[in-house]
Amino acid sequence: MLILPILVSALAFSAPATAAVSPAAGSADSFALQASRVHVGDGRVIENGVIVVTDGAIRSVGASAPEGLSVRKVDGEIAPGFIAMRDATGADSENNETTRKFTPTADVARAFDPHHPAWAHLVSEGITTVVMTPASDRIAGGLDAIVSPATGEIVKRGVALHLGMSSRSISNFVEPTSYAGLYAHLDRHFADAADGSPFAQARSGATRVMMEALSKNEVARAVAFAKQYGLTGAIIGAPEAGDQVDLLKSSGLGVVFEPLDAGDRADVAESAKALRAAGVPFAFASDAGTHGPAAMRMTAATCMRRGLDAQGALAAMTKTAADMLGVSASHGTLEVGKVADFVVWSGAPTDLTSRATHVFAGGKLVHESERSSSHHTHR
Amino acid sequence: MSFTTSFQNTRSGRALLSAASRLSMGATVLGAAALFVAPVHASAQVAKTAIKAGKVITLNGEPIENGIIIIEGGRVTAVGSQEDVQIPWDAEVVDQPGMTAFPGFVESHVSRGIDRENETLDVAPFLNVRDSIDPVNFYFEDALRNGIVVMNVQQGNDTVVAGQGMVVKPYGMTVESMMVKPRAGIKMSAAPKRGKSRATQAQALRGAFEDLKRYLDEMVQRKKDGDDYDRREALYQGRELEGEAAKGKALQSEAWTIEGFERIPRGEVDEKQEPLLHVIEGKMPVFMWCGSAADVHTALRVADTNGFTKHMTLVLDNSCWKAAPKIKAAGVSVILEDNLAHRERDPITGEEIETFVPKVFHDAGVPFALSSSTDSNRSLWFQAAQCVAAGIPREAALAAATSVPASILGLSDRVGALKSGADGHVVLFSGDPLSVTSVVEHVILDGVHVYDRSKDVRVQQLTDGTRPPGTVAEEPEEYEGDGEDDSDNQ
Amino acid sequence: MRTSYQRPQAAIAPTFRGAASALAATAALAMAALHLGGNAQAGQEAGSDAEPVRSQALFLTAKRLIVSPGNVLENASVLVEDGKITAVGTDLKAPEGAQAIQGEVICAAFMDPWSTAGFDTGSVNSRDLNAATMATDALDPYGEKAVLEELAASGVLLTRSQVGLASDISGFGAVLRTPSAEVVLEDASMSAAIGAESPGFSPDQFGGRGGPQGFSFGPQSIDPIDRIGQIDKLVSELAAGQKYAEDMAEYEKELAEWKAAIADKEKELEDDFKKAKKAREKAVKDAEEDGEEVKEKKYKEDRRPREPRYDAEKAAFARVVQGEVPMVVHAERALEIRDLLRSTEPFKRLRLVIAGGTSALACKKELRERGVTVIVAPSPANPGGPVGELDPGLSLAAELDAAGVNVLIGTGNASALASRDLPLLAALAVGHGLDRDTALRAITSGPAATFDVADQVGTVKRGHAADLLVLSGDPLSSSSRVLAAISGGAVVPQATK
Repeated sequence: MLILPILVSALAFSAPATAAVSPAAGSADSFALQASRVHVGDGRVIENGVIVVTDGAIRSVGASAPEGLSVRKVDGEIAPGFIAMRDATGADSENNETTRKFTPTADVARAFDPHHPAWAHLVSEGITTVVMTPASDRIAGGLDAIVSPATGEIVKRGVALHLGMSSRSISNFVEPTSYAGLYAHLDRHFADAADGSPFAQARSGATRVMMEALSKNEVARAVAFAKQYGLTGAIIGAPEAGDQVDLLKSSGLGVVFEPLDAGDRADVAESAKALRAAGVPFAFASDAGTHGPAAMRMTAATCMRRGLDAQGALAAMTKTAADMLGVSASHGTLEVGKVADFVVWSGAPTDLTSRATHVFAGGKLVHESERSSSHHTHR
Repeated sequence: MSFTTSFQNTRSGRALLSAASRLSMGATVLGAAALFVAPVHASAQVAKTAIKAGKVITLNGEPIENGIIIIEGGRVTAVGSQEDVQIPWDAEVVDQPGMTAFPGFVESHVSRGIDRENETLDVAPFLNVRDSIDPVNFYFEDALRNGIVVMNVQQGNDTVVAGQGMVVKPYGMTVESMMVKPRAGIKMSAAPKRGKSRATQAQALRGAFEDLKRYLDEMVQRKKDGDDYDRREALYQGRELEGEAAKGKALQSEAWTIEGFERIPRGEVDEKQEPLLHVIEGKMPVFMWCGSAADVHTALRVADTNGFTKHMTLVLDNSCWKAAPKIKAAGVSVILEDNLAHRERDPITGEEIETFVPKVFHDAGVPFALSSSTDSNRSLWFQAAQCVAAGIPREAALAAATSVPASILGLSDRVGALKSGADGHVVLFSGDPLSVTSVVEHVILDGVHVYDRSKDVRVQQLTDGTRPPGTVAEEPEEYEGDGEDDSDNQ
Repeated sequence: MRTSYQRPQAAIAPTFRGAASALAATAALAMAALHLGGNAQAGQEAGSDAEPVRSQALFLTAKRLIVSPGNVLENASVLVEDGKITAVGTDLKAPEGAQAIQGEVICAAFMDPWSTAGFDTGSVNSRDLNAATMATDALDPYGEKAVLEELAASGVLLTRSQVGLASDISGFGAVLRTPSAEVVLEDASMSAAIGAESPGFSPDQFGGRGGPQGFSFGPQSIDPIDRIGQIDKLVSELAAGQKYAEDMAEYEKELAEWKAAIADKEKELEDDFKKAKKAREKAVKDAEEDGEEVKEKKYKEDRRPREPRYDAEKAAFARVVQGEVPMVVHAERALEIRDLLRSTEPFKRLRLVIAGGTSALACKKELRERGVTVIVAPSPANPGGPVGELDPGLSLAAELDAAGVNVLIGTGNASALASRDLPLLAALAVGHGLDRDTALRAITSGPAATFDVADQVGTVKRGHAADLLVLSGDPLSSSSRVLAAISGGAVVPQATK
């Protein structure tokens, strides 16, 4: 495997005006880029691949471009934009909801602030799609939404019912104050779910669930709960999921790993390897609000340094995430008809030494980095 | 049966009495536990007691069925079977065929019976527990109930270098009369004193010795300068200067060298620094508290640098079992805290691990002593019984509460076993000393009967409700209420 | 003088998780990549308290041997014997009985120049330390083995560790070998901090761990006036140290002069003694005849110069002021860095290292001119973080380096585990503009040089201690794995699940 020196790529690609990389002259909204590698996201890698974008969607990905379209060569590797399975950037206000644990119909998309300056940092790290969730200390805090921070678009509302089933949801000040109480409340809501309520929709499979659970005990309880009510979706947290592979496999649930804190043991790395080997889907949260925009990439890199293969890490941040959210028809891989969210990396997309030189969301260039500036330019 | 109360035993008094014992006079003084200072006149009576018990556990060989112990002048003069040993005609005979005689437990380290455990000063080796022992403190009375015959009273653990301790027996109206061994050692701590971190504690501990070294070096330097000046002055004045013999002694330390220290008369060393000097020279034992296994490393390092490892006993928190190999390699003895089971949660697997600490040291071959420093109900017999329950052989368990502490305190020939020449301490149990159903019926210290359970007022109060003479139980008053509604519903 | 403190090797006793699991297969694959030839890895049983096997020679081979960043040998080998590198070259042969280890890349082990690994948390978080405190007193031989394992697995085998991360002045830090907590250099640095809060005060709603760097500069920060006060205090301590050093030097000089003068005088007196004796005998006789007492001649001499009173803290700072020990000051804000540079200017021999340095770009010229080293701790968190728009975020290292400032990369976290992220942070710095070789230098030979252990570690050179990594790829590449970690010549056992 070649290691592409940053120097070479930076020099080879002369600093362009924005216009040169977006729509070529003559065509309304079409352009084509060729990179030394195009990672489709599902494991396929096209050497010297060309990606063609029209009207914000991918027109083609392959070895060549259609006639009549000028192809701009970029140094580096193209990969789908990363999908962060949880991030609360710009939604600090949502942490104020401390008095009520149950607000199941709350639509978190309403807290989305596309103009928040912190989004730019996230985008500059190659994250084009983010799942916004209610705070972790709520039990049924509301419905997750998928947003595109770069374009300001709400991609999909009501994508999952977010359930907090970890110790974070239990406090001494608001009921319920125990696990038993938490499950009693949840049982009541799910068992007596009114038609059309988020709980009923979760039971019927119309809506997914995202369950926060940390310790092995919490994870086991969450899995049992999901089985009991026939829920699909994923567990967020589960750093020791590697010890519960069989249980998770039998549940059909996926796992979303939280970013590592400096003081956390890297159990996540071992778990990621185990889940990959067993075929249990997993993805990553970014939590840039508390951990910073590069935390998701760092967590993935930590897993790789412990043995997770690069494709596994890439899939977790792209295709698998999209599958978990049920938006794989439009997101997650670079295939015809899907949304043109992709990143030009100066090297391997999962390598921390790579930088996102260009980020496209919805076919528009939303981020471009210059090597020597002290601030990243953004849209 | 009657008991003889002998004259109270100060060391000099006993010497006098044993000298006077050649005049065999019957001793028939009955009385309360009044204490007398040894009489000076030559017609001193020598108390003799013969204690016959159904079983005598000597801890110096096999237990003796129907055994007998002869105590003369406060010392054991004979131990054996009733068939073999002659009872002096003038001895008071105690006959308890249903009881078991035992040498009594030795408390190797305790911080009770004193006014307050620690001072705020970090380094205060000049202090002495002699000034803070309170003879009427409840601890001493209770020690008799638990069959403890001597205890090493030391300052508490919240210190860097604390004061000197002493070995006392739990009976006497003055500290002097309780004294068994005055200079029993200095207390130190390798674990952080309140407000310190491990780093600053080690710094302070090392610093105490470094300060001493600097002090002594300066003293010697000043003396040298003075001597040199005197010599030059004499030369100038044309006088012959007589050589002066060294007034002091050379420093006797394995780890330190101070050239010319013999020039300093020992009396000139500041009394505040002197105790640590004795530590360096191996004349003062050290009891070093370790709150964690890492502290053991600090303790051994400081002791090694300053040459007193051989004279140090480690007083351990139960988490220190992890340092057992290190302790074994250093060849020091340890005193265990009274909570013998260490519990810890494995940070990775989450499982709780319980370790029975004495077993670790027993298996490692480290001499260990038990202690019962907190509650009476964790007394030494209970500690030893727990050891037996955990699989430690009975002899080793008993030794940990008797002969090992005696050895640590340098009192092996005086306490911890019933043998000729030992101090006349005997405890009579109603059954086996380690059995939970046994109680201490009588305690004899230095041949003096100091405790009789049948006359123990507090025990009587607990067991059959008898009230001490002169007291009347108070009836609780009926509460009338004051007519207002105190309920919560307003 | 600097003491290189060789303690007895502490035991490495890794905790192994349950053997039977799906991961055993993955572990086996990793082991296969090791191409273990020669003797099997003996003596590293699970839970063993045995001394690490240092006596066995190691023969490491790789396609690329990074002697030092920028100096690469292709298809080269390293021979390790008795804890040292005894040979480096392209045509070496493995001696009999040596354990052979192969990989893609061999390089020097990573060194975190700003770490707390090896010390107990009480001392790390303590604020009552002083200049004479030795961090090595806080070594915790029973610290969580899992922590040291993780550091070894990520290739961080050396650290410059300190205690009192948030303490104004925290005393001497040490260079340690992480797997064994062995001390390489006991007095590697003096540490201080300006404006740091204790860990745990950060308004972090997700567990109160004190944010990514272990402490916060948020709304609860120390007042700016107080921070300047801290700098003043530090500078006055330096001045006191300098005065102490000067007083000591003066005393030594005076003492030598006095001794010489006294020696001369003594010789003179001895020579004149016979005469003096005669004169005295005569005086005595005369006095007897007169019936008077003998009046002795008055003898005068210069008093011996007095030694300055020993002060441990001043003595410590004296060493710092004279450049014997570098001083690491944690400072983030431009105002403080500038003030620090300005106030320490008079101390010409002071070796200043600034840790953190978020706003150091504001003083990049002065930093370069003064030869100040900056330890950057690129936290992936909050690039618009503690100091707002002045914070260049993850490109700080690159920008400082471009300005000619000597840059190191460290973690500076109250949690010892944080050091594990060192190679990832270096990689992130590369992704944000830092030259690759510079980044590798910033976590290997750079820290070794700054903390005076470059003659032992940091580069793969004959005669150096064997602290090395055998990797499956480029050291900074995210897909590279540490195949073997060699610490002090012994292979660090890898934890397997």
